[in-house]
Amino acid sequence: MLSAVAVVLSYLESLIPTTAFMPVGVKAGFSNIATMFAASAMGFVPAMAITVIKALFAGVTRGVTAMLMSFCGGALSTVAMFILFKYFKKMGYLLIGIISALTHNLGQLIACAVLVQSGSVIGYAPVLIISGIITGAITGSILKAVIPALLKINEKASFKGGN
Amino acid sequence: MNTDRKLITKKDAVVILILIIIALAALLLIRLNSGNAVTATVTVNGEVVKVINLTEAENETITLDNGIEILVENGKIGFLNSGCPDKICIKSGMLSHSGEAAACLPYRTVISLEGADGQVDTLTY
Repeated sequence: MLSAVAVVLSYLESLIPTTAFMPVGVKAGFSNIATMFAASAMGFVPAMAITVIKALFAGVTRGVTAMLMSFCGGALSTVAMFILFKYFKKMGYLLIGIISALTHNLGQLIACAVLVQSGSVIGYAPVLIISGIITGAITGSILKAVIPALLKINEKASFKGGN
Repeated sequence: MNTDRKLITKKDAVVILILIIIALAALLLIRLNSGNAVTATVTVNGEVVKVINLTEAENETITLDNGIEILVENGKIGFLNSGCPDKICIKSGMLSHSGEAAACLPYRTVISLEGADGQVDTLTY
């Protein structure tokens, strides 16, 4: 269920014209909200499952490169957010969102450097760090706002035996 | 799960502030160090396929073996055409500062720019 939400969110996001108000290659990362919810309320495996499904979806719609990029960023980010949710009980949503976004970008940058066999893509790093802080803060805040509703839906779904 | 988790704590705010300062400092450092680029290096799969001196280069369109077209114009360089789906490489625009780079991931092609002190030890035409 949540994977569907993530896929739909990342599709909707692709409809927003990126060049108009954001630097090249930067996306808001709304689908991360679903992953973050899974990492916080359901555990590591469901969160990672969403990441894999998201990557497969990217592979089908945008090709193998997009799939690798989606997975490398998503996997690293999922590990990071899981650790934060589990062991940093006091840390707020805003910072978790930011760190998730930054690790997501870092994973993609590493994948990118490996793919093109060149370290020169590090030139994208400053833009990615700043945009990661901004988009992460936004997704973290949205998660904080929607988490009570999501928890309710999740409970209902569990009672029906489906998820 | 911890449902009392706050949106932001004082400690978080400090961490976020430090992150922002680091990011801005990095950006500033790169901007200060980057002058006009002198050479542009085009690599495919990590191999240098072309080195272009931007200060002397005439305006031209270069077509690589993988079908990608690169435009050199008035000391600037950028992707003109590529078969990739997202065109991020083309949207990166025309580059002219050292340290800048544009990449077309599906075709593993990178244009990177270096300044006067940039080391160039491979020249392939």
